[in-house]
Amino acid sequence: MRGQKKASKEKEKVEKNNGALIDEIKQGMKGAEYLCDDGIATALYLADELNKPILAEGPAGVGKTDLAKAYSRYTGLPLIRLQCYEGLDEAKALYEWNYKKQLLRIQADRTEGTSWEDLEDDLFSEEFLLPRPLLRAITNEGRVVLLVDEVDKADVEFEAFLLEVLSDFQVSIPELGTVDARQMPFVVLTSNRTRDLSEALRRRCLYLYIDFPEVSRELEIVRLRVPGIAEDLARRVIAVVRYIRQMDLKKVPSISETLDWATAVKVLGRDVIDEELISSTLSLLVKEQKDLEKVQASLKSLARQALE
Amino acid sequence: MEIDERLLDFIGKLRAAGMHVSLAESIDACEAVRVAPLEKMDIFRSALRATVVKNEMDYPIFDAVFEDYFLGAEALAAPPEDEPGGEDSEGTGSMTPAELTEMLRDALEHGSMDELAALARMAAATIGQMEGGFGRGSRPLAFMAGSGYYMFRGMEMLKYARLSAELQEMAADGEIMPELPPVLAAEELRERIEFFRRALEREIQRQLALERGEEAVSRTRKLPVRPEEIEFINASVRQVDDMRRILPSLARKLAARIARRQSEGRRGRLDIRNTLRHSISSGGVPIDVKYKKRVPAKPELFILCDVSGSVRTFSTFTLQLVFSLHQQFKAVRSFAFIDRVDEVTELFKYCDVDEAIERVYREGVLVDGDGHSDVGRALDLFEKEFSGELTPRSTVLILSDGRNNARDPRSEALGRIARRSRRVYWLDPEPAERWDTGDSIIGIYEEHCHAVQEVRNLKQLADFVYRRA
Ligand SMILES: Nc1ncnc2c1ncn2[C@@H]1O[C@H](COP(=O)(O)OP(=O)(O)OP(=O)(O)O)[C@@H](O)[C@H]1O
Ligand SMILES: [Mg+2]
Repeated sequence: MRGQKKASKEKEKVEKNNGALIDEIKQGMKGAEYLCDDGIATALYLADELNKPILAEGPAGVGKTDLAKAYSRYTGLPLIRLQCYEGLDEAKALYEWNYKKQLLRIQADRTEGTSWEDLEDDLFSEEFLLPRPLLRAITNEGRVVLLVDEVDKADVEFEAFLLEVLSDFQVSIPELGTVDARQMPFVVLTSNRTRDLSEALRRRCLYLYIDFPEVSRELEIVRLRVPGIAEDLARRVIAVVRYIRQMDLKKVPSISETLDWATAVKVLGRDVIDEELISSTLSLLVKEQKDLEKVQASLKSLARQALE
Repeated sequence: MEIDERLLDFIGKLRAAGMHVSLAESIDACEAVRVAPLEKMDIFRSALRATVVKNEMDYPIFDAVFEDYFLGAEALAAPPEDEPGGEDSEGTGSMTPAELTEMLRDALEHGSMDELAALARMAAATIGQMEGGFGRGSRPLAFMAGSGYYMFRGMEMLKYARLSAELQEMAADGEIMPELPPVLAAEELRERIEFFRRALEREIQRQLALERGEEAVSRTRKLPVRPEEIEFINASVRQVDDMRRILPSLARKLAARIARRQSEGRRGRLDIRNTLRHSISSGGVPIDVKYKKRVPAKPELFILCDVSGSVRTFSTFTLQLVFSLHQQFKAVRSFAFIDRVDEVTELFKYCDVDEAIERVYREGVLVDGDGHSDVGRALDLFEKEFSGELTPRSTVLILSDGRNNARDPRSEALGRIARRSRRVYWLDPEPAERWDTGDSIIGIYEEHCHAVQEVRNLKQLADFVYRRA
């Protein structure tokens, strides 16, 4: 299905100018409940055209992870996710031998008296291989979206290994030989910058910094993700959130908090946002205790933001 | 020029501005431009940015060079023709500054971006006529002023700072764009204010370029500096924000570097005697090599910082950095001074550094006199009150530009401080070539310090901390 789409796209490009193609991505992503600006849509377009991974960096909760998920919903390509963490290694990311199954096989075989050579060949065949996300992404029949989430959490050694995989989409399994990708996956890496990633990895990727959205885009995201919210209420929600964002806090609210709060306010069925409402729902917006205290102290001016 | 050639030329400009762009990335950029639409400037820019800028910190440099190269050049090739009050029709020069300011107020309040751009052209022409140097029939200027000069004069002529402040106040009271809640109106307004400023800057550059040729102008343009290279002593408010943004990551990196060095050095030197003693059990063969345990010499820091206006930014950042590295030190005590000195260690435990310094100012324990720093007096007071607590483990850091407003240096006090402690370092945020000029008497103090170090920006600060931590 993807193949067809691609072939017809070549033709399309002659007729359409590319600006229209970017708009098409924006429309498609919107259908998958994700609002792109020009920068994000262009990165998606290029990643597809040039077959390069996207490295998305930015503060927490601005839609880095959801970018990959939404792209999978939009294109219909299956999503494979590799969540990174400290200590993640090849065994967990690429493949492992299913040693329990191997042991069972050895025990079953003892009675039959097969030679060790034959047994060994058998034990290290695909049957006993446990493919992990990277291998699954490479060997999948059709093209997939591979999300390598929070790379910055993985160790430097793992990053180097990942770089190798991303360079040739080919892995070697000593017992089985080299496995080539059947189709290049569409790769999205995300990072919260808890540490700097290597230059080599950056060079290999298209880079996309996702920041907090502008007013108009954030408003649109709220409309899209909290359907049925009154226009007026949506504006007031955004006004309050953006005011808090300007305060000097440990962790300012991001899009996920905006959405949570907008939903809550809508569900509560209130049409004015007053001090009392903000105060009772504040923990949806601000998580750190010290920050909460700070914001509680300026409820008055916050509530004023929500009035005209 | 072919597009590829132009791109490579552009990438050359990026490199000249200090960005690192690899060959592979240049190739990616060419390919991206081939598949990405050129008709829309935004998309063209996004495509280039995704392929050659691999760190958000370089976005400002990229944007500046891009605007210069593509928008500036484009504007040069096709100067706008039929603008309202175009150069031939009504003669823009006849507009008075006051009239311009009024039109501008109107456009900022409820005009379109196009109107703002048109006004920027008119304002630039007026500036050229008033100041001389460019524009129709303007007198030649005695010196080659850069666009920065004209911007400065233009902002003055339009009373832009006051105008923006007034409008912002109105926005906060909900008197502008009443259809939006006040914060959104304020944000929208801020964008417009910034838009006009940049439009005016570009227009001045364009008109200057018409007068003098492109090359001459691009030499006078100032490119943004990387946040770690911004000078503490002339940082603008926006630059201070940029620096604040990168500080946590800088501190993390620094801590990691220091930790790595400590773990490398942990084994310490070979302990020959101990190794030989153990070799007896293996018939004299030194199988079990012994090392001397390295005593991690964690210093006890006394930071004495000048927080008077000129060096305040520098002191704040240094304190912030030191605090985020506090595990690397045995103890950190801090003292602030202007013409008096007071310990502020406790204060910093409860507030952010910024907040703490704000409080230090408000509570006014540091100033007896006129608010200018008196380094000599501060040193003297510090020595009298606190030097009893210095030990041979103490490292004293003094953060100041050593500008003593012609007061008594009292350097003997520093001498006594130095004798009681392990090391005294003086960090001066001014460029070394300005030391000992004017009222800087850093040379007099230098005799008593282990080193006087120039620390103009975050980069030099991090280097210093790494070497001495
Ligand atoms: N452009 C957007 N359009 C629609 N929804 C969005 C958009 N950006 C973010 N969201 C929503 O905001 C929430 C947070 O997004 P996501 O989890 O992708 O953030 P993240 O950047 O990965 O954060 P973290 O760094 O914490 O992992 C999700 O519910 C996501 O759907
Ligand atoms: Mg995420």
